[in-house]
This record gives sequence, structure tokens and C-alpha cells, in this order.
Amino acid sequence: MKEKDVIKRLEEAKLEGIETPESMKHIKKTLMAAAYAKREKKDNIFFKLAPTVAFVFAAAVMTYFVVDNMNDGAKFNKRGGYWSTYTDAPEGGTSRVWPPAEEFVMSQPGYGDTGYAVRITGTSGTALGLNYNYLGVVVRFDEKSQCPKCQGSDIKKYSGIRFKVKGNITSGRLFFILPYESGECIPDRMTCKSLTGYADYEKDITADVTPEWTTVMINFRLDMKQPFWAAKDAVVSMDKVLESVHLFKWQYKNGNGRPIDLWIDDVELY
Amino acid sequence: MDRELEKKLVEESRNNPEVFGKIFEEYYPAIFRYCLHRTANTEVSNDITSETFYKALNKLGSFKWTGVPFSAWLYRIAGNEIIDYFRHRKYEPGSYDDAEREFNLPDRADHQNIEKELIESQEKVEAAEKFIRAKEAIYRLPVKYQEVLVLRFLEDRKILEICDILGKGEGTVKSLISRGLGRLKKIFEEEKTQPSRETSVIFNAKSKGGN
Repeated sequence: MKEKDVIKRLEEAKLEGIETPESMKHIKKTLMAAAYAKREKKDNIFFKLAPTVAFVFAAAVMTYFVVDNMNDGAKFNKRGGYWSTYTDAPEGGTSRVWPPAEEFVMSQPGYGDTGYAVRITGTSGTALGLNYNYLGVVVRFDEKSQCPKCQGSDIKKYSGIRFKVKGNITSGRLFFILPYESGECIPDRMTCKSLTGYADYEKDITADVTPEWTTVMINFRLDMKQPFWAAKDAVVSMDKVLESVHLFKWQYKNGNGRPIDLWIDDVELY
Repeated sequence: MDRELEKKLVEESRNNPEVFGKIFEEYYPAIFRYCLHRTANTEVSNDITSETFYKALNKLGSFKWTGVPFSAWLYRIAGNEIIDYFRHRKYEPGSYDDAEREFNLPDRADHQNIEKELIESQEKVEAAEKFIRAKEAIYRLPVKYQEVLVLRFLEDRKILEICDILGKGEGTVKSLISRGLGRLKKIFEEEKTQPSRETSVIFNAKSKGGN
């Protein structure tokens, strides 16, 4: 037997295709929880040991920002950005959603069986043809981000967004979307003009929606992509989008007649 | 992963757990596979991989760039855990187990899914005849040869990568590979003239308390 024969036997012995996605998912969840706990502990020690300089360094250490924790049960967040629903009805679609856009209400209980959360229920229509139907919910970043001002906010210093989610999706996909809008208000629809033709950065979070509350963490720069159908002039860098954020959107697509029940709580930038 | 991107992500992960999650996703399959090639046991490999990443997470603050890739550091941690497993013939991921108990104890359904997945994976390992035969021969070598041969020929790591992982010089690694191959050749030749050996004790050893 020659050395090359030994090498050949070793190379032929490689294990292929043995994967453990369930274990991987579980370990990642544990590591993330431990990492966040460690960071919070670090933050707490920092503030205990250095109260006088805490204010100066707070911005650097406390890098998360509450978009809305829904604790007050109001449809407005602390900066006046409001929650509302939408459907494909303006385009002739038949998707239905509750609560209706103009009468948005928070639901109980929120995460941890306390407070409030956003809840939408609805049924995807079929009128626009296969995979063209949609419904969803949005939260405006603040009061000035909506019509008539349509002013975006710079959130570049944040890595991503996290929120709690639960619900039931039997078919179709749920996307978290980061729209890119201009400063121009479209008065008849009372919405700010899309700069991408609605080909916005998105992340499919369907798999995270289960009957139990789950924390979804989306890194803006690593996890989100514009859809393949984005026109050339609609392609934009994520940093550019983050410089002028108007709203966050959760959109249920391609349900083709199927229902959705979705709960969202504790929306934060990190 | 490109070394510059890896460096950027590691730096960012020191303050951003989410980015560490990305690093985990990138390297978990490779580290798990390395453990599996070394131990031939999916449960042990799963335990060692989880402990490896938990230790890496806790030592991130002290990790310094010295030209050695982060991935090599992960392999090195895993390698030390594997040595620990071989030494005691069992493996308990102490610090990770504590973290799991504190932060993310699996519910019954999750536990069953993970168990099922590991059992099915173990069946695949045991059905891989060429691997099983090679593994039995490799286990007859001292650990220092096992690690270089697995890294070079089962993990396809380049010589310089192995140097980074083991913290040894190029000449030493080449020498270990050469001598390891020589010893393995003798074992393979012996096999031709002898009936097949019993499956090794290590292969059958169970994690978390042995038998």
C-alpha cells in the first residue's frame, strides 16, 4: 500500500450531508439569550460604577431604542407614530384585515400575559390573482414621519430591529419590511411616496410565527434584501435607507385566500 | 469567510450578540462536522460544539487579533474539548449546560426533536462504512496524529490553516502528517491480514455519564 492509497481512503471517509438544524437552532437561541444577559449585566455594572459619566457614555452603551412596547395600549408610540393596517383593496384586491385602518386598537394580553400587543387577523384575498394579494400592519416611526411632513429619521447607528411575535399562518409568507420613502406626501392616499416602487428591503419571518411568543432579531445589513424584481433605479444601499426611516411594516403575502392571526409586541432597535 | 469580514464581524459581535449569532451560523456546521469526524458520535459532537461556541462567546472580550483567524480559534477550542472527551471517555458541556438551564431549557417537544435528530444523524454516521473503517484505524493512533490527519484529509484544511488551529509550525505539522500517514498505512496493511477489530470503546462511549 502506498501513501497516496492511505490518503485516498481518508478522503473517501468524509461524512457528508449530516446536519442537525434543530440542535443548531436551539444552541443559537441559548447563546443569544446568554449574550444579551451578559450585555445587560455589563450595562448595569457600568451605570452602578460610574454614575457621573453614565450620561456621557449612555448613547454608546445603551444602543437599543424602543419603537413601541405597547404598554399604554394606545395606537400611537411615544413619539406620535401610529399603528395602522392596510390591504390590497386600493388595487382592487379582496384581502380583509382587522382592526380596520381607521379604527386601529391594541389587543390584550401582550408578551408575558401583561399589557397590550398589536394583533391583526385577516384573510388574504384572491381577486388579484395567485400570489399578488396582501395585507399587513405598519408603525410610523414618529409624528413627523407621516403625511404631510414625511420626514425620515436616521437610525444608522442601530444594527437591527427585534420584536416579539406569535400567531398562526397556514399558508403564504410573512415579511418584515423596511420601506424607503421620500419627503413627498400623496394627499389622496395620505401616505409618503415610495422611492423603490415598493421593492423595499425585506426579511421573511414566516418560520418565526408560532403559537408561542418568539423573539425575532433582524440585522438590517446582514439579514435584509431587496426583492429580485426591484427595478435598477430602485436599488439602494441599506445605509441610505437607514438614513431616512419613516416606518416599519409587517406584510402577509401570497396567502391566496388563507387566514392569518398575528401578534407583535416590544418592538425595539438594537 | 473573507478574513477582513470575519474580523469586522468579530469586532462588532463584542457588543452586539446578534452578530455573534451570524458568526455561529457561519461556523456551526464546520465545527460540528470536525467534532463528528473526531468522535464519530453525534450527541458528543453536539455537546462539544455548543460548549465551544459558549466558551468563545465568553472569551470574546479577551480574543486578540494576532493574524490567526477566528475560525481557527474555534477549532482550537473544539480540539481541546475533544481531548477532554477522549481523556475521560465521556463529555459534559459544563458551562453551556448551566447557560441552557438558566436561559433556554428546551421544552419537551424541542427536546424530543433534538433527540430524534441526533439519533437519526448517528444512524447515518454508523451507516457510512468507509468512515467507520477509517475511524477505527485512526483511533489506534496517538491523538496528535488523529487531529492533523482529520483536519487535513477529512476537513480539507490547508497546512497553514492547521498550523493556525494547532498553534504549531509548518514543519511540525508536515512532519506529523507524514508520520501519521506512515502509521496509518501500517494499520491498514495489518487489517488485510487480520480479522476486523471490534468497534472501539470510544465510539460506543456515551456522552453525559457514559454507560
